[in-house]
Parts: sequence; structure tokens; C-alpha cells
Amino acid sequence: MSRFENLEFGEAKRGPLKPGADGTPIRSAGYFLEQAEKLYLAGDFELALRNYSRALEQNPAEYEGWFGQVRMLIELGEYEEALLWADKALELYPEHPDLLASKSVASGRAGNPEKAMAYTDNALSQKGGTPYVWLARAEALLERGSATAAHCVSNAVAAGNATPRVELEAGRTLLRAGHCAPALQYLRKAATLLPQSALAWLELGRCQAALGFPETAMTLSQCLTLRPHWQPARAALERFQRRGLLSRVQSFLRRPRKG
Amino acid sequence: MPGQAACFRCGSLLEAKPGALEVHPPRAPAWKKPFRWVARRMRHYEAFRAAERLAQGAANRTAASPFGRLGVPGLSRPADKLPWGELRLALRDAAVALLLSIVPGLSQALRRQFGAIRRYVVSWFLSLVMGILFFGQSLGAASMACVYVLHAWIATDAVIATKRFKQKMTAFESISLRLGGIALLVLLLYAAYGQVQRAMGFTAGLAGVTVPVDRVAMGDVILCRFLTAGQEPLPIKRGDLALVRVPNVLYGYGENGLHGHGENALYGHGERRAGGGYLGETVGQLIALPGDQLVVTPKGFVLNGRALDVVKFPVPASLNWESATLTLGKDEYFVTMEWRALEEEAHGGLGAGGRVVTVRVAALDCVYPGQDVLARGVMRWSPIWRRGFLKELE
Repeated sequence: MSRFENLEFGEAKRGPLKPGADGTPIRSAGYFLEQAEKLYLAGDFELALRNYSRALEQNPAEYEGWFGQVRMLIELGEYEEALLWADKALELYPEHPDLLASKSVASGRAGNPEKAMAYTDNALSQKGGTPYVWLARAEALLERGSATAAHCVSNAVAAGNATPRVELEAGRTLLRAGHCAPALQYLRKAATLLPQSALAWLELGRCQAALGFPETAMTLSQCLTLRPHWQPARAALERFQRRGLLSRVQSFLRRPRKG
Repeated sequence: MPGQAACFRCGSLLEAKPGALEVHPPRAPAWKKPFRWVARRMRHYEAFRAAERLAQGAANRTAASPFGRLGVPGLSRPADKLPWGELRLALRDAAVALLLSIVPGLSQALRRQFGAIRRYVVSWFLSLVMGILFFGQSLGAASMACVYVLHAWIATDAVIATKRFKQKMTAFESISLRLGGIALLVLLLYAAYGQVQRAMGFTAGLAGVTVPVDRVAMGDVILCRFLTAGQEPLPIKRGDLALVRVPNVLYGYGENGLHGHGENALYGHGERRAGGGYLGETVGQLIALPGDQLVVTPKGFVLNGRALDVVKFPVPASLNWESATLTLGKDEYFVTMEWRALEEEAHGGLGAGGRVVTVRVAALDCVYPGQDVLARGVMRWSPIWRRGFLKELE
């Protein structure tokens, strides 16, 4: 015991314990961003959005929070709100390529391909092509049926140093456009590198189901193990199990051919 | 850049300002989502995208709308961008277009909008032809109604299509102006076309008499020329067809004079008086002029002691079973028509209380004052295969 142990130094000494000292997590912006990311990978976009908002409550200057909110609004299908919120974020971060890219994605999914292309042009003209910018470009091009979309996806993966998260997004972008075969490799990699992500397993399962692969049931079961009673996974599994002859033929035709 | 609130190069936020920013994004109501889904699907079609662009353009123009500038309540929000000079020019253009549209399609023709002329003016012209062809009939009336509406449509179209007005109007204002303008113009045009018809001096009526020598049967449409009101005697000859306004009259029969029209109809034997108003207009044959002495017999009319040709001057059914003598007074005309006589027969040929209707009473029904003789028949108009000018029988 130190001889200075009982000396009085004011209230500060007897204040609350330092965060984390008692094992409770630090409720900082970083903590909420981390939670939001985890929830996103679990496929719970609603809760992820709330966590991004809480991160911004802690620190409104946290760019990841604004961008995450816009992305979650897009995932939830609220494109008009996403555009509105991206505009608000652009007031704080003018001409940010990721925010412009998110506006491109929202516009494209809302059924305005011309606007989507314009936004993605603007985003690419800014400095620093982030993976999200390239993926937004790929999505806009896929909407138009352009063959250069695959090149944009490759650029995105390269720009993101082939991180599992970027692989997952690349796979999702391709799958959304119905390009199941190229999406499969990205999603397989994502599921391998992010084995705890229910979203990665779901997307992989959907891709496999579209191609009619028998391992679909196992993939989706894995997803349900990670997140039991998840409605999209259950629906996908049921749909796969009840698929008819026509669906099987279509899946067979979609499969990649050797050589 | 320590100490800076924002990046001096790009303006990015560098310093947190808690409470100054709203960090919770807006959310879409659940009920909107299905509609948005449908809209997203519909955006695959160019027509829907065009409609959206139109709506967006209309919303953008609302601020500069003439109605907004005029401050019409409930029509649009007020605007402050449109200068009065521009508004005045827009309204002037609209007024000129409205004036030009008195001749349907003239405004469009001057602006080289030949598409509008093809669509609307040709329809208007065809409706007018139909209206004239079937003048005096239901089909003709319906065609003329189409003419009014199409003319009103062309006029509002001319106003809306003026460049300055069109650029400033919202879709809602355009529709409001169209509907309101048409409603107003149809009323104006109805009066205007009526005046034109009156000025031309022609009208039409359904024949209530059969005149074999003129090839006129009951129900035929007779084109008539208006007589000058107040002229005495009227420029009409015996044997001519005449459009008369049939007054609603009440009769009293028998000593008590009670009639089925009500207990208040207490008259002397064979008397009549106006029951108020008119039953309608019909075309009959003029037999006698003011001052003539007429004897009605089952075999024909005897006018001033001279028997009239029964082929040219047929006797209606209700007058050919008894004789009666009448002397027409000043400004009284004897016009026969079958339906009027038949109406009397429909009363049973008997008055109320079982008393016999005399021919004299029925004949009194054929006497019309000069003010009720409106027009002289000049032409068989319908049916088409009997179309032709009427002969002068005297």
C-alpha cells in the first residue's frame, strides 16, 4: 500500500470509474459504429441504422455515421429518405465521393437510371475512387446492361484491398443484377472470411438457390443457425425446397459452364 | 488544421457541435412503401417517367404561376418571381386567343398548331354538320351539345396553349382552367348559337297534322321561318303549315261546368279559358285567317261560303263527326292538328260528368291568337327522303 493512498485530492479521485475499467463497454461513437457494422453483417439493417444514429449523437462529425445511415436507408428500401439524408450529409462533407455514390445507388434503385449515372459520374470525378464508388458505378452500369460493369467490380475489390466486406458488397451488387455466376465467387469468399455474418450466408444461399446448387439448403441452414427465425432466410429456404421443375431448369441454365 | 471548425479546402466538418445537428434520419411511413414500390416498377415505362417530369416541372413552375401571382385563393400558392409586365403579356395573349377562338381553330391555325385543328376542329365541324342534318330531332340536339362542348374545348385549348401562359401554369391550374372555362363557355355558346339561329330566322317543329298533298305526315320535322312578332296580319296564307305555341286551356262543360281538372274550373257551357302556361310547340295547318267565317263539317271545311279541297285541307279526326260554325275575331287564326284533337278524344269524347264534347268546343281548341303563331313552315326537313320545299296551297 502506498503511503499516499489516503491523501485527499478532491472529487476527481472519487469520481466514477474510468470507462472500461469495470468491464462495461465504452459507449463512444466508435463503439456504436462497431455495433452498427456487426448488425449490418447480421442483416439487421433497422438496428444498424439506430446504432449509426447513436454514434452521431455521440459525435456528429463522425463521417462513418452519416454514410452508414444513408446506406442503411437504402438497404431498407427508403430511397427518397436516403437521398434526402445524403444531401444533408453532403452539406457537412461537400462533394464526398461515397455520398455521391450512395445518391447514385438510391436513385438507381428508385427507378431513375439517368440520375444514377449522373451521380456516379460526379462521384468518380472526385479524388479517390473508394470501393463504394466503384460498386455504385457497377450497379448503374449493370442497370444499363453494360459489359464494363465487371471491370468496375474488379476495381472496387482492388480499391478495397480485397477485404471480406468489399467482397460481400461486390457479390451483392452482382447478385442484385442477376449475375449469379460471377457473384458466387465473391460471396463464397465473403462467407469464408466472415463466417459469423448471417448476411453473407444469406446472400450466398440466394445465389446458390438461383443457380440451383444443392448446397443451398445447407448454406441457408447455416444462416438460420447464426440468426434463428430470420424471415428472409426462412423464406429463401422454403422457396428453394418447394421449387418446381421450371425453376430447376432455369437454375440449370444459369450455371456457369466449364471452359 | 487544429482549432478549425471546418476544412478550409473542402468545407468538411471538423468539430463536433452537439445538439446543433439533427442526426436522426427521416423515415418512410409504412403505408407509403407499397405505393413507392409500384412507382419504381412504373418508372420502367417512359410514359410514367414523362408524367413524373411533367409533375415536377409543374411544381417548379408553381412559384411563377399567373394564378399564384394573382393570388387566387386555393388555386396555387402565391409567387413572387413573375413580374407584372410578364403576367400582363401572358393575360393579353390569352385574351387574344379567346377572342380568336370565336372562329373555332383560328387561333390554333395562326399558331400553326395543325394537330389541334385536325383533332378538335374537324370533330367540331362534323358535329355541326350532324346537328344541322338532324335539326329539330334528339340526335340533332345531342350533336349541337357536342358542338358547344367542342367549341368551348377549342377555346380553352387556345388559351392554355399560348406560350407565355403555358410556361407559367401548373397542371392543376391547367385542369381547373379547362373545366371552369368549358362550363362557362358552354353556357355562353348556347346563348350565342341561339342568337345566331334566331338571326337566321329558322326554327323547326314536329308536324301535328297529316297533309297528303304536301307529303307531310305526323311527326315529320318541318323547317319553319319565324314570323315578325307584332305584325298584323301575319304574313302567312291559308293552307300553310304554322308553328304554334299550344296554350294550356281548361274547359267547362254542362250547366255545372265541373271538369276533371279540378273544382275551380267552373265555366259556362262550352267555354274555355287559359289554364296557365303552354303545353309546347307544334306544327299545324292554318285553315282560316282573322275575320273568316268557318263551317266545320264531317266532309270538310267551308270557308266564307266556299268549300275547301279536303285533300289540301284535311279535317282532323275530332272534328269530322258533327258540324260547327265559327267566326274568327281580329288576330285569331284557325290551325288544325291531329294530336290536339286526339287529346280531346282521349278525354273520351265526353266531358267530365259524361257530357258530350261538341265539335264547337273541339274547334275552339284550334283557334290561336296571333302571338301564338310563331313561324311559317317552309320545308320538310326530316325524314331525309321526303325532304323538300312546301307548296303554297292558296
